[in-house]
Amino acid sequence: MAKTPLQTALQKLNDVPVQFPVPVIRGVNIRAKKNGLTVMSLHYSAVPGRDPETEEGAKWFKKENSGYASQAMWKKEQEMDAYATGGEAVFNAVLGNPALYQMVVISDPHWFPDPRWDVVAGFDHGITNATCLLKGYVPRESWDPVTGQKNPTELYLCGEFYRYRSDEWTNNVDENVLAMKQMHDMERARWILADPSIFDDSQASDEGAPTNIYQTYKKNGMWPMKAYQGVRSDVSFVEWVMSDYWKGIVRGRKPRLYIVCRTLSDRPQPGLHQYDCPNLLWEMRRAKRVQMTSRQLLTRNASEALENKNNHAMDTMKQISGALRSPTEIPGWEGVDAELEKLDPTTRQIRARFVMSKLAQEGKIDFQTGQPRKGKGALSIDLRRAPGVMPGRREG
Amino acid sequence: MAYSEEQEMVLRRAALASLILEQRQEEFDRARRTENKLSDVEEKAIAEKVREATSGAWHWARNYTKTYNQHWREQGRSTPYEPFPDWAFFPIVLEHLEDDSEKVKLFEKSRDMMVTWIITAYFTFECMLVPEREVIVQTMTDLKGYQVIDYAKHLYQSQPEFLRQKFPVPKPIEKQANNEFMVGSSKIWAIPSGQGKIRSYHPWGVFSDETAFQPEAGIAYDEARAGGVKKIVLNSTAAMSWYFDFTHDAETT
Repeated sequence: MAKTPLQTALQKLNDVPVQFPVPVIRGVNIRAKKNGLTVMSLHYSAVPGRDPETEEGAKWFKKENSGYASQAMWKKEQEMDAYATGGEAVFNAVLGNPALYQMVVISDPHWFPDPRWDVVAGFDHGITNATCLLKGYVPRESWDPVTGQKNPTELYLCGEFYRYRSDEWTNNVDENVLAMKQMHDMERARWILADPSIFDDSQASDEGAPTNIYQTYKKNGMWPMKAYQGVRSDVSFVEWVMSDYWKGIVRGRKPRLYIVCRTLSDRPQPGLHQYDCPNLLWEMRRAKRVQMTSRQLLTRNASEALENKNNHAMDTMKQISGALRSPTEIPGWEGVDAELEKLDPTTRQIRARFVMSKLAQEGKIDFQTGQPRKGKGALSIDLRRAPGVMPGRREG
Repeated sequence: MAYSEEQEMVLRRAALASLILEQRQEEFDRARRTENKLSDVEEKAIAEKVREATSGAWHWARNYTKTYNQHWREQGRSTPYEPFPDWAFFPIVLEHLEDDSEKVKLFEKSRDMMVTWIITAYFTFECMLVPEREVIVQTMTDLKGYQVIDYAKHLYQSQPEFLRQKFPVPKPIEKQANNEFMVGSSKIWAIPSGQGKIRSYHPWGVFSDETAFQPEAGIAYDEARAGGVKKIVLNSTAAMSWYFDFTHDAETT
């Protein structure tokens, strides 16, 4: 008895790698998963009147395709491309729009950051989850020659280390540090911000006193890191990326945040990427809000929160972009100096007392020391005044 | 013209009501004109007809039942009730579903391919033919589940009289609850998405429709597997989801 097209296709599956689609008939193919299950894919071209290679199908295609709000939606709904809309309604408006995508994602293989730009980084520790180091470049301050105003800070995310536990990688701190130390330009990083939890003394140590994960990194030669103290909410993060860094780009305004990625993929690409962020973009395109069941929705509003999954590079991006976004606090004594510089020496003496007491009353400096107070949760980062190399790494 | 879910529900109810009226008229006519008792020859002939009609799922779906189409007028059709179109992939889908070598069947599809219809036809056919079949349909919401149940009811009602008599329903279709379809001792019923919904059930089949849009679909799938289900069918259009990761062996971090 002759085999059916499905039986023939199923037999062919034994000779091809997993996830390789084997055609059954026009528009229908079947592929095997790693665990042996099969997935049948039914494309619209399997319907006689919708096969674009026929006259009738071409008409249908033209009519239907033009009826969709965007090509991304068409791809998602009809071409079965789940990535087409670039993340479910999170970064979709930008990453799902080809024109805007071109604006914010640098895919030119010849693009490299200016060597004079500042380097900053974010770090997220994981063992079973991914460990991620994300590198960003911040162009030096510049002024608009026409208006004389300071141009807004820009951020170019360009370079990442992304590793999670797998058969060939144990994802231990020592081997990760060895790999991360190969990252270009990190020796001149202004700062590396990390998840504050790695600074907590929560790890048991041989000596008895508990230690923290950061110490383990330090012992293995990792560059010094600071705890990120800015806003940690995912909802705010999405908001500041979309409405601050990418504000008005639909109307042609220049974005302030760029992601460099030449090797876009629909799966993670573990390893060290010197000047590329494929995993960050992979995570952003997959970002979705927490889904709620119909029962939950009866008594609660739909959630705005993001799913806490595949978000390690995004966490590091949150640290970098959140830190740069916070207005820089100028130390109190510098403010006083700037104020007094304009005055003659006699008035300066009198004025100094007044300015100091005003700043102290506002809580900006300490009465005793004259040093700026550390406000709760306030993050003080000033690229202009940071040392040329990381603290403790001033060499040569 | 697009209809809202409620409008679609009203249309389906109207379609069902018209079918039921038709059947009652048939019963009335039969009562007036024919004897209730059939001769052996007649019974044999009917048995032969039933055997022929149910010789295969695709044969039955294509020739002995009808789907409904809300857009029939806009599409220039003469009636909303038509048999399954003769699309080459339908018999392939049914062949795949009937293959018992693997109990999990995964489908991904473009929109508007009538795949939910054909899978419902498969489960309806199974429930008619095999006693004590239990099938759970899991969808995003209760309302969407009722729609799949409506499909099953419609497919059953659209059959010729001799098939409905051969496979009677324990309760008239119009009196069956929105979330269940019962035929003989078998039944299909709908539950909403979410973990824990399948727990404590041990159905023969589970049909998860639009899995990619169901919250906690991965947990529900594991629960179905743990429940000893013999046929698990997952069907969905594309969306970033557990289902997408699962079907593509996507690595997650």
